[in-house]
Amino acid sequence: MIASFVSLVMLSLVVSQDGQSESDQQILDRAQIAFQLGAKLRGTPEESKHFQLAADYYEELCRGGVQNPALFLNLGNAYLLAGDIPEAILAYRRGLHLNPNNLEMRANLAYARDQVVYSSPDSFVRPSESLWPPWLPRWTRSMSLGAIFLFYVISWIGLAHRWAFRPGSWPWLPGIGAAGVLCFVVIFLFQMRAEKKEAEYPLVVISADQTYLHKGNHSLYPRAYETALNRGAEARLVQIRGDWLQIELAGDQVGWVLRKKAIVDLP
Amino acid sequence: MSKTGKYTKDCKMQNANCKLQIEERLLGSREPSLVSAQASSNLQFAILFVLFFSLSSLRAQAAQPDRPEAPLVGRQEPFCGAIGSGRFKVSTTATPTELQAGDPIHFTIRIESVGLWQRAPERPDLLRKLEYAQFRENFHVANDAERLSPQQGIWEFDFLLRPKNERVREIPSLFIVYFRPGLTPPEKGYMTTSAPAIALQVKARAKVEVNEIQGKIEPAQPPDRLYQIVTGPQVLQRENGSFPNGWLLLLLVVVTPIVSIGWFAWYTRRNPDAVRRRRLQKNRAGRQALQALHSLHAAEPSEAARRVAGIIAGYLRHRFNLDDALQPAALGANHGTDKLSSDQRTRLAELLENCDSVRYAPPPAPSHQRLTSEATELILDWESQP
Repeated sequence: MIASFVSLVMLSLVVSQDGQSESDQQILDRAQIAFQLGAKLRGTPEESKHFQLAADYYEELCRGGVQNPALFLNLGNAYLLAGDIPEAILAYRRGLHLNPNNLEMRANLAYARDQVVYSSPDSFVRPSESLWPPWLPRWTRSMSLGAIFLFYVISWIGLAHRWAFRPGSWPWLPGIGAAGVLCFVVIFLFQMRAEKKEAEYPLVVISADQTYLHKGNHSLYPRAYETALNRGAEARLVQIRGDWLQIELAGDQVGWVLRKKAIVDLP
Repeated sequence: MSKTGKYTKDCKMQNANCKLQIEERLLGSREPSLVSAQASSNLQFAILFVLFFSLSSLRAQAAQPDRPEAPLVGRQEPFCGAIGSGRFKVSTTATPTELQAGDPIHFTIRIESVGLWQRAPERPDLLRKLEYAQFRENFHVANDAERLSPQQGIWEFDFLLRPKNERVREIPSLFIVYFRPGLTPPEKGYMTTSAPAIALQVKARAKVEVNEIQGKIEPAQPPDRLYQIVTGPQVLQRENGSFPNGWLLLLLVVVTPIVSIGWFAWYTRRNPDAVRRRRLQKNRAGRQALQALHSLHAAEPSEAARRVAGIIAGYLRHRFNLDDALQPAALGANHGTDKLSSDQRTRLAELLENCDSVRYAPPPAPSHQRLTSEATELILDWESQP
């Protein structure tokens, strides 16, 4: 209790510095204090308020241009503990976009997805399971670039060696270098294509329970599917028309939802 | 009479006796006392048989009122199985009638016989029969106890009904069908009776607050790792997830070949012989000649001298596309060696003379090491030419 009181006092002191342009560090301090206070009140109904406050501060940092996997991990944790599953899923997905090999964030995303109530026992709306082994690091674009450069250097070393010494020494080195460059350029192009597609169709997370997909951009249109979407269901944005979003689910089902019933990962 | 004929006559007699015995058994004895005894036993058997069937039919007739059957043709639903010459009344009761959605209602169906009945009613099948679908649409239905009083002609069946939502306004009217025999045609005997609907007041279920939950229900606790956050300056880093600077990439792409070429230039300046040797390696004839010269160190001097002359001749033939028939002596005599400089021609001639001198020298022959080194130098000179 004493610790809670001290934390609260510190928080109020920080908050009282109004009117000044606050640095990112100050906002981060506030977020951390609020989070720690929520953690101290773990198991009580009051904890969610503090976690929500921490999430607000982390969001403020994001709006200020701070973006990194650690921030999104903290933001996702704060949202999840505050009970806001859709925002937590969105934060984790943003963080994993920056660092796909953050295992903690991936585990937390899996936990958040477990909290989503799916109306249908089949695979409707459920995100598809990844076949990538969890222990194997995911191959990122940066890794592809590094590999391309490595094989490029190897091919040049092989050529220089071939010029300087007798022709029969290491004849395979330039060939291996060229083959490696070609291979990873192809991989890199595929990654770029996927990245482009992801940018064209941003992530959408349903933020209201019992949300139905409609066949058109008005509630008078009939329902596209009789299965309702609940908070945390993930989809891709196809287009925006007025207050309506056309989204595509993991199983290629397409329909329209009200914009206020979903959050979109738009910059 | 022969022995065989006697045997045949005996057999015929035995057969005749056997036939007689069989006829007697089948038809009975021909004596009057025995015939009358047989007839009386047959009569007793027939009387017993008739008595048995009479009793069976009487028993069946006595049991028939308990198991009457209603005709299948023209059967009306929901038939409850009741058959009687009198009539049946049905009534329903429900408690409570004011409740929250999901709370149970004790619903009782009472079927009463007025007059004679032959077959008791069965429990109305609210769970499956199509005619009771309205019950299942509005309620979760479960069978409960039953109280049967056949002597008084009263049967009571209890159910538990749970309204599915607050929009349920009543328990619907209950219809049952029973059968009254004796009418023609028989299907005219199906009679329907009903109980009126029971009005209900169903309220929406009150939201249960966390502090109202009783008992030890452990809520799912989030894992501990969710309560851990990352601290430090890394939280404030600004990453945009884009690639390294394009200029940096271009620099790396350009720098690598520049470094490779620069290193090669430096290496050739520092190691000119190595460069010469590298160029020499390009010439297959020169490489083979040098390898052959290198392998002569263990040979006899005269044999080595002969082979040095042959190696040089072979090299020159390949190098300058000379005639294969040209002998080393002819090469030394300036045949076809106009591509060589005068100095090289002189050195070649000297080398071939030395080879001959070593080859034909009286024993002990001088060492051939000088010959191989001179030949190597000569080949390297020729290979260094453009």
